[in-house]
Amino acid sequence: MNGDPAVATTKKRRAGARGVKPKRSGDYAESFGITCPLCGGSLRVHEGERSIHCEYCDSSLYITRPSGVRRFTMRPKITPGRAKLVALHYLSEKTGKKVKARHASIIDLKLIHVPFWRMRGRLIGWICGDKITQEKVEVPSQGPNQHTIYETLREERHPYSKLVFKHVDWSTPACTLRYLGLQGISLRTRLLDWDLFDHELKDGKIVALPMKGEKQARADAFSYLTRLTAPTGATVRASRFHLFDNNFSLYYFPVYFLRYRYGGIIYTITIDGCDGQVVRGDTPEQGAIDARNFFLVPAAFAFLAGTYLPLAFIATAAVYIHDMVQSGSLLAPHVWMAGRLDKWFGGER
Amino acid sequence: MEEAFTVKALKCGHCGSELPIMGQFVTFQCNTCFRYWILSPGGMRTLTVLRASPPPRFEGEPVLLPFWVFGIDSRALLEHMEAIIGRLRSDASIIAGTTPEMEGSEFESMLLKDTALDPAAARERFIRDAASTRKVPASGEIRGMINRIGGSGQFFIYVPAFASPNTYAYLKIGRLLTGAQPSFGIERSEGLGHTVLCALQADEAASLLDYVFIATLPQSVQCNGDFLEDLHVEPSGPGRLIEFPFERSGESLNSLIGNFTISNRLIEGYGTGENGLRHP
Repeated sequence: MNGDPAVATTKKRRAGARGVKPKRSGDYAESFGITCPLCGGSLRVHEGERSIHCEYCDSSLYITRPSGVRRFTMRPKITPGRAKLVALHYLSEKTGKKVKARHASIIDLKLIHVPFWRMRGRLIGWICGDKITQEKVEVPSQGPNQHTIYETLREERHPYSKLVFKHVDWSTPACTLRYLGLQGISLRTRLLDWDLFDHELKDGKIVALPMKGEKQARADAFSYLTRLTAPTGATVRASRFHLFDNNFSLYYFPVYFLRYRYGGIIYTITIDGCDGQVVRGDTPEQGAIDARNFFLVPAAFAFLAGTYLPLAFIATAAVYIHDMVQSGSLLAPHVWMAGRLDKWFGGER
Repeated sequence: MEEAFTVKALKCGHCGSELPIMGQFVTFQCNTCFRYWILSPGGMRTLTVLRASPPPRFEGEPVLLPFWVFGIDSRALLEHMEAIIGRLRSDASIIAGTTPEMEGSEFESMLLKDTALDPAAARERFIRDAASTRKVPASGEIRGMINRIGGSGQFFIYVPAFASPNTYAYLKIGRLLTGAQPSFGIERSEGLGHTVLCALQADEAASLLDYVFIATLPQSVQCNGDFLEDLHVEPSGPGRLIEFPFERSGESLNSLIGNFTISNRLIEGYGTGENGLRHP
């Protein structure tokens, strides 16, 4: 079932937004949508720009960013049809072209806006502590046999300090959506056009609610930055950081969530709504019959039944509930049982 | 819709003329009345731009780089540092003077980790290590800091305000000029066409004061976490935007005031044009 490593192959993409990279001159990574206060024209302001020209009314404008958390969202850059195509291609590829569009029935495809906390700006900091070095030293024995030399590890601490000043672009999911498989989105590496999150329009969208608060996210960010700036194998004794051009915001990133049924079991595939890459995908197991199942499954059932008969039924019910929770849907017990037995003993399709 | 950006017309607050677009820079000069304006969190404010006079021996057109200059009351800073040192000494002496009765069961639990140790020797070593963790700067280091800051009057911290592709340049150049504590003549910067390429607001610059000051301290003091963690530099007044003259020398810029050299690659927008800086 979904998420079960024994029966599903899973691809996860790890966070790419955790690194720190200096911005080059004129290297504006992103733009944000604003409205001209004089003519109402829609304009795009690049990251870092403080004054711009309105291309509609030709007036000069300046931009200030009030403090506080801002919310941004983005329209998906791929259509639902394209997302479906990507998912089916992925499915075919991962199953060695054994499962194609005609074998799997797509249950639904949803566009979900997943919130991410993102910290951007220029970080200045100071960090100090001890670098710990270990070296092997030969020491004469203290016992009666003093001619014996033995090796021991000697640990030495060398104080260090470091001043840090760098551009930061860090992000973390603001909610836990296990089925989506999102651990982080590489936001900084792409040219993205963000719009202000309009609360009035959110009824028409599926928007995941942020579960992690701003305070916790900030603490996580600074903890990560402390680890990042400390040398390898060093302890941090004291540190101070200040983020200016402070931009700590919530970004709602679009992902497509596709559910399909194959062999009576529901699987899911998550597709990045921006670049159309598969973020995470469950596919039916492929390969030969696992001979161990022919012994282990009946043996486990016999053991439970022999110990106390209801235990076997309780265990079956537990596996059923687990699979339903994992797949996020409800299947009739006989359909589930058929699928499970097929997984255990069915072998290659 | 929530307000993520405030967008307003860019006009001179004095004569109403439209101000030129400056991209990432926060300073503007009105082409009609020649007044300077700065973009601050509350909106546009008037700004007085000062210029450090190059030495009389210098002939030619200098490259002018803006810095925020903050005056620090030396006496207040020294008193603040003395208070931190006093607290550290007190903490260290408390640890060194502990008795087995004061330690209670905490020390016993540490002994259990290494039962082979002689309890008395282990205790002595532990107390010595613990006392040394509250490290007080050495007397030589303290004297050096007092000499640097000066016993009375003002100590100045210089925060670079130009745009730089390498953000470490702010610390490096700020440290060089702050370390030099130069003397210079000052005049008001006025006139059409003299654009000030300032990319840092005054409050942003003020938040860098502690770090520029730490960067000027000797490495041994920079490693003293207990001392620096509590150290905060408070400016005695608002920062002043002063342009400092630099002389072009191939790929480098020589400071005519602080007597140091930096690479011109550290400064964004450097190239041909008026003042040696390319206009946005």
